[in-house]
Amino acid sequence: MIEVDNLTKRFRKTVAVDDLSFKVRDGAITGFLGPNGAGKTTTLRIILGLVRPTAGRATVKGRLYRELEEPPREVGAVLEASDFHPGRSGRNHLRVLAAATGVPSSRVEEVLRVVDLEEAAGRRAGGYSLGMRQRLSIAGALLGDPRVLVLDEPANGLDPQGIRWLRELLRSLAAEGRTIFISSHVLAEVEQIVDEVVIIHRGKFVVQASTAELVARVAGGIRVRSPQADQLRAALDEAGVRVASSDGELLTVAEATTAQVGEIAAAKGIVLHELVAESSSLEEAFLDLTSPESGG
Amino acid sequence: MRLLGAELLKIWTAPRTLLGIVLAELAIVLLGTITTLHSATNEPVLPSSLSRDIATIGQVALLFTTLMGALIATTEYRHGTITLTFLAAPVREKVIAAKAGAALVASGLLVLPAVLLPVVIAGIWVGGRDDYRLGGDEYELIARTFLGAALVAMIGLFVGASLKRQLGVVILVLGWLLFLEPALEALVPETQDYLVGRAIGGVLGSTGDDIPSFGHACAVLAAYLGVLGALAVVLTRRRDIT
Repeated sequence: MIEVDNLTKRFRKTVAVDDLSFKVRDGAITGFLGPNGAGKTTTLRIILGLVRPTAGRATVKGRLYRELEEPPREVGAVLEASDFHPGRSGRNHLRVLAAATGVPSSRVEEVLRVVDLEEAAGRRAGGYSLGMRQRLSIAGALLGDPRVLVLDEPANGLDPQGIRWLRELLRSLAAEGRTIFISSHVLAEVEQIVDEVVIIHRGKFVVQASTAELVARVAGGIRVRSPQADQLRAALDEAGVRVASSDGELLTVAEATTAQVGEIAAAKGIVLHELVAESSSLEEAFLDLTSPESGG
Repeated sequence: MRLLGAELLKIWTAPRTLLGIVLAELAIVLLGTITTLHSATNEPVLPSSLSRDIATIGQVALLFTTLMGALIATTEYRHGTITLTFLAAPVREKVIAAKAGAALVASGLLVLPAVLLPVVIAGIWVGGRDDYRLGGDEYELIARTFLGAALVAMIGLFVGASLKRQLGVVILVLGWLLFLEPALEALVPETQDYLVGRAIGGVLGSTGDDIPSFGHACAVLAAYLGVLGALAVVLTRRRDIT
């Protein structure tokens, strides 16, 4: 389990992470979401022992990263896609990592196959596209066959096919029971694969919930249009259903289902021209929770 | 040991820098050797100092081993690979120790051709003459070159690990040796026994009244290495890799 406990990081006067606490469940894919500058990367780097926290702590399996017995075999990380010596080939980059982590060099070819980078492995990494660099980063993270993966915006630079490939890879890794903690500011990238999300904004914790819970929390309500809007409003009030807003024939009803609203109208003989549940996506939930008005 | 292997592999798998340094070093050594031998053989009798001159031409390698030591530390920051290095080995003093080992190996590899080339060329050029002979004194000077190069490579490494920036290291090292120490020596003559430049001269067996003894020079450089090494460890441990 990854555990972040009252974590704070200040860079001079800037507070990048502000008293942040959350836990990442074992064996799940957890999205770490927030707008650019929310403090995601700083938090991930603190978890990985690259940045020293001002206060609080972040642990993996109850220990600081540097206290793990074999860190790269327990935690794989993808940070920036530019962490390569441009003159070193992709294969040699992985050989160096393998040597440093004590992984047999035969594993290099295995991970190159996993990320589909075998053909380009002999070329200098400086000539790689951003997508190829991301694949190489992911290969590096997988070298030690770790049970925990920490990925910072791994879809950056990937084309739509690459994003699909990444999703499938992460799904297959999660199916093996690995814990995956993946940050993103582009919700569409992770919406389809995460089990739950941690959302932060301006360094502060906003919410941690399953994706379904989160969408439900900010669901858009029911849109109902009727030429008898006043009567409908009265009927809804009588039934204890709150009308969030009204505009002529259009009412927006909160905290109710379409079935409830339809039945109340039918019982009073009220004509409806429209009865729609406003759908809400994770993207909308995210925007709602991190908008300036939310105060998050 | 595996970290040392990884550091050596880093040098081996991105060899352009090392090759560039070796080629520049060999060019200077070759030029110095040819100039020395050409000048010596213009005389009817070879100067008595020729053997010593040939044995000390390779000392130019110290400039390059200092640079190499600094590059071993700073290249990782320049390209961002230090992130992956610290992920693989989060106990950062172990990384510095491995890099120090790699700097020692690299210094040996840089010194070897620099001392061999003049000896080989002189052997071909004047080896058959009775007035040219390499003896124990010259071999000692060559051995001292290896030692001096190892020490300055470590200094370069520790300064590089402390500052991170390649240009900053070069400016600091050159500024220190070429301007600061001479100025300090002129202003406070009592300091001359404790200056890096003179200590290196003592290790190399340079001649002159003001050159400290070998033992004193080694002690002074060991003290500098201790302070710079401690500084490198403290700064590296405290550094945020953002």
